[in-house]
Amino acid sequence: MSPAARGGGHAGLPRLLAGLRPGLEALSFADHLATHGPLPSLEAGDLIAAVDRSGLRGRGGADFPTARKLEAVASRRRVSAVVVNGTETEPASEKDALLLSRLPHLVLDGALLAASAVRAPEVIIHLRESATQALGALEQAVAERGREAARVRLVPGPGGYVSGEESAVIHQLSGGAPLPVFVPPRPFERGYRGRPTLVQNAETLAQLALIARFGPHWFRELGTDADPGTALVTISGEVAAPGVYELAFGTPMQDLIAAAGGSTEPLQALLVGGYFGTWVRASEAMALRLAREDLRSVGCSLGSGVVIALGRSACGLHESARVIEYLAQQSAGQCGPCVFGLRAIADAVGTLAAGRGRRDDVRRIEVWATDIRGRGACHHPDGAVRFVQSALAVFEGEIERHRGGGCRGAPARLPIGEPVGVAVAGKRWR
Amino acid sequence: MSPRPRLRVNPIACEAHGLCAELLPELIRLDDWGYPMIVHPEVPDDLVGLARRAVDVCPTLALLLERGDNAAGHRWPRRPGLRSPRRPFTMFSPFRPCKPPIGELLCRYFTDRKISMRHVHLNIFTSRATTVPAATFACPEIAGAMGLDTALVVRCARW
Repeated sequence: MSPAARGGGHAGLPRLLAGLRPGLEALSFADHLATHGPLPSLEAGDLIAAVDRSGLRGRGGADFPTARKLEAVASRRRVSAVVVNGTETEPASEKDALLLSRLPHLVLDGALLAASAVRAPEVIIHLRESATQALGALEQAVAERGREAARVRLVPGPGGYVSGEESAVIHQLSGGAPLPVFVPPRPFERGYRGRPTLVQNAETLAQLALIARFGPHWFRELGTDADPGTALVTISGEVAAPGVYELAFGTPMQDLIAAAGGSTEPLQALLVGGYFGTWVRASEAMALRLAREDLRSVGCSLGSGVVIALGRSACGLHESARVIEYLAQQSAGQCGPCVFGLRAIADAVGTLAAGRGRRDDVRRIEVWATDIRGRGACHHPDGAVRFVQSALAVFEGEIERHRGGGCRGAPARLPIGEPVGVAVAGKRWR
Repeated sequence: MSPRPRLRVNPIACEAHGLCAELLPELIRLDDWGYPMIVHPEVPDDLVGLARRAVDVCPTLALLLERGDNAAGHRWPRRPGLRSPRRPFTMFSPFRPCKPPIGELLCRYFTDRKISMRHVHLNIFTSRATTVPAATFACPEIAGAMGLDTALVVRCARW
């Protein structure tokens, strides 16, 4: 079932997804140890050094060097805490759901290793309460760990697009709303119960668990010098086999689409990074590789590993209008620039999509975008604004077409709302 | 040379009263919805006094003046141990012009609730009641901005 077995995959893959069972059952502790080998015990300094040499960066979207985060918490020399961020609020992302519900022991390994590295007595796994499959699998997995089970707590939350933000996670665990708070202090300084807290994405910890076993050199055998290792990418849209794929960095985007069964119709654009990401024209994207610099050259970032393929039969402007409307509704509602700015922008994009746009609507959106950037307590308005700016650029022709009264007016394609989760018929996992 | 003090807004606490922009138009501009944009965060020497006044006058303590080298540690106003934003105890908000005078109302309010005037009894934001010293001062800027005769701000030094 692995990509390598199917041919066309790279040697050395899969890594995280090794041992993935068909069906929806989770890998048991015994099978997990048989697949990856025993978990080594490393000195805190050795683990952090290994992660540093490996070049691992966070996979939750911020792409922050993991070793620096570990060091920041460990160096405070106080009782700390580890929080596994499994909220995964991007509607089109399912990689963390996959890991938590079918490969929970890999994430647990990483979390417990990180906990010993930063001197944390407790590991808290935070995820949406609607992720019932993952919750069940994690409860089972924690029970299988015996003595270690006492250190791990599962804390589900109500969800919401901004609830996965670092400070929002801490706020929620401290009894508050699942909304971001003003920083500083950041969680690594003062977080859960005032302790220095390491908040790490589930996939990052899974990668860490393998680095601890096999070392930084092994990690760097795949990927590029600048972007070492592999990433889990949730590929969806007009592809034959949507799902979660493990790919080495540096993989050409053509191969990425091919891995997902190829496109089912000619593509016009890719949405890279989910709704916190940006659009790129398909023609430009296909010339690139899955690498930070390549993506940056077209204004993109992999973010939380979401790639949505938009076919020619869809309307990019309508889809973008739906997304920015969703993002405006999902504002925490705490900061004026975000509440009013995203509302104004969403209304203006909606007007453009409805064909009632005025000549200077695009200019007004640009002015608002520049004004509200960086003025929220979190980066939700920044991401939304970047998304809209990329839509205005990539779908410029579409805007003109709508103004002229024409549009293909295709039915909606992009998912809006909570991620559906792993138990979706028709989805396959690699 | 020590780094210049920098202005910053806590966007969660900010409620667009706009007083900061009134006092510091050189550094702060309001956006289409009345919220402050710090167009020039570094405060030049001749405006530091005015910047401190602007910080004092903000009804929600949303404006901060930070020393560049240690943003979290050295802020004006000083709020040790603060982790997430809380509203200051501005009891008569929104302020209303009234007879009898505000001072008398304040006394009556506190006495009715058996709160000593020298210390404000805080049991709103924490589960444990905390007594902190309170400063009460008349604020003509707020009064002017709200079209009132008088505005009194009861500000707690710590909460």
